[in-house]
Amino acid sequence: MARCESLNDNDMISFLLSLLVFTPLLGALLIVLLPKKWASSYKLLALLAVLFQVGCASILYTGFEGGEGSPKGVFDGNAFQFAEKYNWIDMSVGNLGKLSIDYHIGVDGISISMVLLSVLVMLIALVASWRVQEKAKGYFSLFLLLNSAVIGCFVALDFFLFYLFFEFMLLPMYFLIGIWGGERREYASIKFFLYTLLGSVFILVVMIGLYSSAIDPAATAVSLGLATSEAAVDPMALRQVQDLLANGLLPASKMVHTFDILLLSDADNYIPGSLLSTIDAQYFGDMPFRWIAFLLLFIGFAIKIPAVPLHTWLPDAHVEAPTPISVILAGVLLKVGGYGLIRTAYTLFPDGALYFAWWVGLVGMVSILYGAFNALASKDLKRLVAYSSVSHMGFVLLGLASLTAEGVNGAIYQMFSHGLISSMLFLIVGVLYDRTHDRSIENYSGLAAKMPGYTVVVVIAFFASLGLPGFSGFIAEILVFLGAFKSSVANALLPKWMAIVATFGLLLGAAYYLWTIQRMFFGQYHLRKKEWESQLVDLSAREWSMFMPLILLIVLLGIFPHFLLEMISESVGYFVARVQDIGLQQLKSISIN
Amino acid sequence: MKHIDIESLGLKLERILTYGQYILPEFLLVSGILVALLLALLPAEKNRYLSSAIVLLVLVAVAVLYGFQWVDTYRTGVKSLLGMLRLHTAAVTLKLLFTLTTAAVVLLSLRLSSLRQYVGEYLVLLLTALLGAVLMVMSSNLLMTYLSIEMVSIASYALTGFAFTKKSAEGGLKYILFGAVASGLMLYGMSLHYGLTGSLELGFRAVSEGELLLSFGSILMLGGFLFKLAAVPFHVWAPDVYEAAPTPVTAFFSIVPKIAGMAVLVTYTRIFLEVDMLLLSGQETVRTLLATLAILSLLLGNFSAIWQSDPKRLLAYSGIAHSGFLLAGIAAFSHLGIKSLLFYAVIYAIMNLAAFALLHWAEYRYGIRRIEDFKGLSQKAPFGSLLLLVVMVALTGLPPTAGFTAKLFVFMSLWDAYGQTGESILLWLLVFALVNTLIALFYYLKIPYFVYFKPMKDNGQAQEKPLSSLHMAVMVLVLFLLMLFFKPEWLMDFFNNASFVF
Repeated sequence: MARCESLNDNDMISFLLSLLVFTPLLGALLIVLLPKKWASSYKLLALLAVLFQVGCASILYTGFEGGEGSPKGVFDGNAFQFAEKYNWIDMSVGNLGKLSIDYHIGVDGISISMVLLSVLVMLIALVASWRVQEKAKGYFSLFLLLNSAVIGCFVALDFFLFYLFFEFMLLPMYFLIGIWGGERREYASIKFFLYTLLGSVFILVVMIGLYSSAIDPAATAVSLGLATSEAAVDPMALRQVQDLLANGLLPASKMVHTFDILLLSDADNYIPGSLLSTIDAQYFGDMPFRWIAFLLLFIGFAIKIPAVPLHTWLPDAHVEAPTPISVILAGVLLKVGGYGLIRTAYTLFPDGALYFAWWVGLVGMVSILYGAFNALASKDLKRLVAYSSVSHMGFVLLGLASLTAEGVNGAIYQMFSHGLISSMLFLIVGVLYDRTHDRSIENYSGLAAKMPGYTVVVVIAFFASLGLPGFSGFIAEILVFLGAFKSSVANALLPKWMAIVATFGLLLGAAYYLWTIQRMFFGQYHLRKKEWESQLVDLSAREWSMFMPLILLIVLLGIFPHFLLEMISESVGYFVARVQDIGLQQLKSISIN
Repeated sequence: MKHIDIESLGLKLERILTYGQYILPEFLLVSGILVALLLALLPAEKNRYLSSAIVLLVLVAVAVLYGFQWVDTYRTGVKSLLGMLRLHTAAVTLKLLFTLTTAAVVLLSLRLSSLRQYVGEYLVLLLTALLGAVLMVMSSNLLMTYLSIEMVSIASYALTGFAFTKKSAEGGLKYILFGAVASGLMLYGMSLHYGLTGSLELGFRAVSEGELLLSFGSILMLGGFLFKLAAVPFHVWAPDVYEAAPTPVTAFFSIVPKIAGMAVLVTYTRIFLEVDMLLLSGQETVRTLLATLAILSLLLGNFSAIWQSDPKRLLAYSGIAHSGFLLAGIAAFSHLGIKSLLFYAVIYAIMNLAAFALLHWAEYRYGIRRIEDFKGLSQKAPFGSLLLLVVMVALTGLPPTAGFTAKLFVFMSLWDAYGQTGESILLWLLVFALVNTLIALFYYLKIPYFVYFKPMKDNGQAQEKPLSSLHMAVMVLVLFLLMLFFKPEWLMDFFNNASFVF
């Protein structure tokens, strides 16, 4: 494969993604180095970094080519936009050839939506953090570190790089929950850390397996002397290398192993007979290693999503995390799970994706219902919102499992939409908590009279979340259901009953939201404690400034879905078609053995 | 009377003289020991810094000589010295590592108050242990191996007592008792080997009978090596000794004898594997045995570490778990496996040195002896706390530190070895090693947890000096840890294409 050249010649543009990733890191470093007496400037510096990111993101948005005929990305390394590829680690490992890790980043339709979402949510979370005073240096530097890692995760195209960013989200999050969190913050933070690290251990195994099973044909051609440099490798030479590999004629010492996701997604780059190869597939017991690898990736990312039954860290983490961190957690971090599934598990193991589609769908369906039931039973408003997240992220899995264009578009749409809506929901909880330090639903009643502005915002957010037409959640969920229903006819991956049962999730969603509105906002005005009376004032200008952009976007995407769909659908269509094609081929090739 | 062949004696002498140049650094080390011994005769108060400085000078000179030796062996390949020692790049790398570690330990010990009286003796023992370790990694003869291991052990027993407390005397005694048993087992195993093969030289010779005895002898010998490595089931001494010894000595124990033990084990594993191949028709029982011991070391070390309240005991158990990783690298016995082992050894040394230096600092500056005492350290000493955090993250094996890279290489070599041999124990080992990263996270984070999450108890203690020399030194180590994550090839390339016979 020829070196990925950026589509734009402009210098600034060709480093745009790097700027997006590393500006916060630089900001964090500056904050750490600044002396204590400048403490008041920490948040300004953070804001500056994030605003710079917003600027970069808008250039990214306008410069991104979407719609029909645009570069598709996904499996095609040459069709990523704003791509950058540099050699990072290039190490000889003796008779096992060479190890090569690239700094390879770029965006396609799938990742750009996530990048834009992250930048937006980060900005809002920063505004929400404006009043953090305690240990401000640590807070804002960790915030920016987390920011860097999240964006890095969404643009990385090399598995090692992805893993690095993925792991790097853990420590800042651990400290942000553990130091600035609520009463049981220590328990919640270590639980979060252990759970997620368990997931990343699963991912690491697969990464190691992929590394030792596949090669980079272009770099191997260079090491064989077929070309002078990677840029000079022509398709003929690539073919030649892959033929040598397929026939077992390539000496191990000449192989260049790679972590590049796009190279790993090409079955021709796998060493025949290696553990994760489709040719001469190896079995563990009576299951091919490839499927085990898919399962491991699935579990690793399902923890992050989080899917039932691996979700138990989420309510604790959310309840204990400070408001802005909850916003980031729900708004962006959960999406890393869904995105990771698409970018790695589905792209690298389409055969596993087809084989386990039923199970993935089932996990999605169970998450939808189980999350909703738990939300219904929650007495703490934040816990309710956290469980509603579990329920809504279940739709992502259901849509993904259907492997139809509608379903996968819906899954990504749901991720974006949930990022906005859940941010809003957690901000809503934060507003209440800031004033009274109490989140029990039963302690409030008739708030509409006292805080009309707040009530309007709450009603909008709740209706958006339960999927009322006119809001972005509706579009996402309708697409997911279309996909899930279509799947039984189109590719026979998901049975019809799964989609039917999942629709009950919508019903339950309406139930817990409406019931909460009725309990807290309508009826007789009543507060548990007298002193709250004076503390409960309506939204401030700063709070409005957080809610307004979110409301506008949620409504905009609810009415004009093509703003988002135009960007993503081309890539998604390609993704779905290829996963099915390759998956079927590979299933055949595995079962022949 | 036996006739003495003057001519062959002359030839031997000539060979000894020629080979002399290859052990020049060791000669220098021996003369350093002698000088330190003489310096000990001076009045204690005066010679403290003088003898430390001279010993440091010797160590630096030895390190420089090893540098030249490294280049030399890189060019010429493996050299055998009279069938006793073998010189190759891997051995020289480890020798260099040991020398630098010892120099760092000497520097760390400057603040030890218990040393005021006995600095000469202390330095002599330290250098002797180093000499033993250096010989261990080169040894290619059963007798040489035994003698060098004993040399390290005896010096270590005495060093344990250098805190001059009841506890440290007790620790030293425990160490001796365990050491004596392990050394007895090893000697018995060696005598079996000698009896059956008629030679002390390394290398397998087919025997006509007593195959089972030969395997039995191998297992006994393994015991002695595992003792130095502090791996299950010969690990029991480690926590007590680590806790009892002065912190700089503990740092030395956790690095030099352990890695030397690893090197010896690697040397002998080749022989054990050959024994297996010939006697048990290719069944690699040694691999299975090592992998099982690795799993046990990982589990036992990590699970015991969770319950510790003394930071040094915690690091002792974590050291047992790290032995498990080293054993895993040996069990994967491949080219990549050995190289990742060397990489791991270097990174492990850096991490442990940094960790113990910080513990030492916390101990003498803030009187911290238990993990709870770390409460609120971040408020008193933000920079030191940050360094501590990075070192703990590295020990856990998380990116972006070389601790992660080192583990990754071991995992990769395990996966490759599994792909090639199909021994399912290697896959299980991989799984256990990965899961143990999780457990490790739990206890390594305990220290940063107290440092950052718990409020300070009192404000009475001294604020951190902005940049103490210890912090600068640890910062250099930490920078190495970060740098080698981003550019592992800067270290790994040294091991590539290098000659080694392990």
